[in-house]
Amino acid sequence: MLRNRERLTQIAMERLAASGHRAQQCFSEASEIVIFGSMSVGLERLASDIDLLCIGRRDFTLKTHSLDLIALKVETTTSAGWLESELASHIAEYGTWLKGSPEWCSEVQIGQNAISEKRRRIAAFMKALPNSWSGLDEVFRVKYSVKLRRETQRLLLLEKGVSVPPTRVLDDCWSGISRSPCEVHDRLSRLASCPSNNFIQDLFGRIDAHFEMTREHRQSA
Amino acid sequence: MAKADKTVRHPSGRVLAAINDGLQEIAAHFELSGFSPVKGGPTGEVVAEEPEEQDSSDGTDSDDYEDYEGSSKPDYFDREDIEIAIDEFISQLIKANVMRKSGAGKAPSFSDVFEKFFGEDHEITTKAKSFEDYIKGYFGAISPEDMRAAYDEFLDIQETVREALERTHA
Repeated sequence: MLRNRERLTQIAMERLAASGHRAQQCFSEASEIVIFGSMSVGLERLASDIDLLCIGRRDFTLKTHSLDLIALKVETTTSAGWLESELASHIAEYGTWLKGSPEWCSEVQIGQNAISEKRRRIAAFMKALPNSWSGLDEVFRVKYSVKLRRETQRLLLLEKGVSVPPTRVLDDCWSGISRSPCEVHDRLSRLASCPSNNFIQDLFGRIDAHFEMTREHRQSA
Repeated sequence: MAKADKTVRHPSGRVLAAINDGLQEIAAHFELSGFSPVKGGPTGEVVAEEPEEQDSSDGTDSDDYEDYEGSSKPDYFDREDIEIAIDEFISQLIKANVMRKSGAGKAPSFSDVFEKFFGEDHEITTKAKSFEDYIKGYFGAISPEDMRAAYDEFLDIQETVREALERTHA
């Protein structure tokens, strides 16, 4: 664990150095520094960015190809908005603390707002995409089918009060988490504004194909 | 508008026409969200129109305003809608063989389009990057101020493309 923290600290320092003065300032001023996401649990891909939470004196966000930094003021971490959020629950469960201690984590509980926001986001895509689907290039159809699958997986977990794991777990290990192979499919159907159209058929075909592929991959491994 | 720099380019009429057509999709999205350019305004100033009670004669769907209940202006705009509009814009350019996906099958971004055809030092590219920053939003929500600032940048981009297109016709 200590070795993992040293490795993560080194990666964070290297990527912060390439991300400008403000990002480094957030890091150096922070009373708590936490790595979260796939890198925290050793499931990163070659091109994965490092997800970093710095709790200190300022609110700041920065996203580059190699770093996703969220800086929060200390007082924010005691607010209900934070303690009931999807992100706080993810970090409390999967985060690796490089500095400080996870005292606020005992107060974390997934709130109704986090669940409602996730539903809203999925519903917004499901409302807008049918009209645009035929005009979107294949690369975007893939993008939105992956996005909608992952967001629905996250919603299902949030609704059960379960912290959302890193994305790679959603992609590769869903059968070990989900009650039924049709769960994503069924939940998305209920959020669709018009349940039977070409968009829905194509979307579900892509999602089913993903789960089929991961199942075959696991069986052959 | 363009700085005197070697990295500023001049796209062809065909490319400009395709970009101009594609931008209409994004313009339509802003208009549906309640934004419109002020006629005769000094610099393309925009206002967020007040949502109004709709009657059945104007052909609009009153459900479009359900998010605005209890408020004269929206608290935020959905990032999802503008994201899809931009992807439609890029899809049109790919279909018209104006833009290509990368070897890894990755689609270009909104600002990539302007960087490719106008050059990285052209002001339109700077505005496209600024537009992307404004619509990044925070957890899927874009504030009315950021949405308005994004629309300001968008109008400037659209105007630059139109002017360049007119010059190719002259």
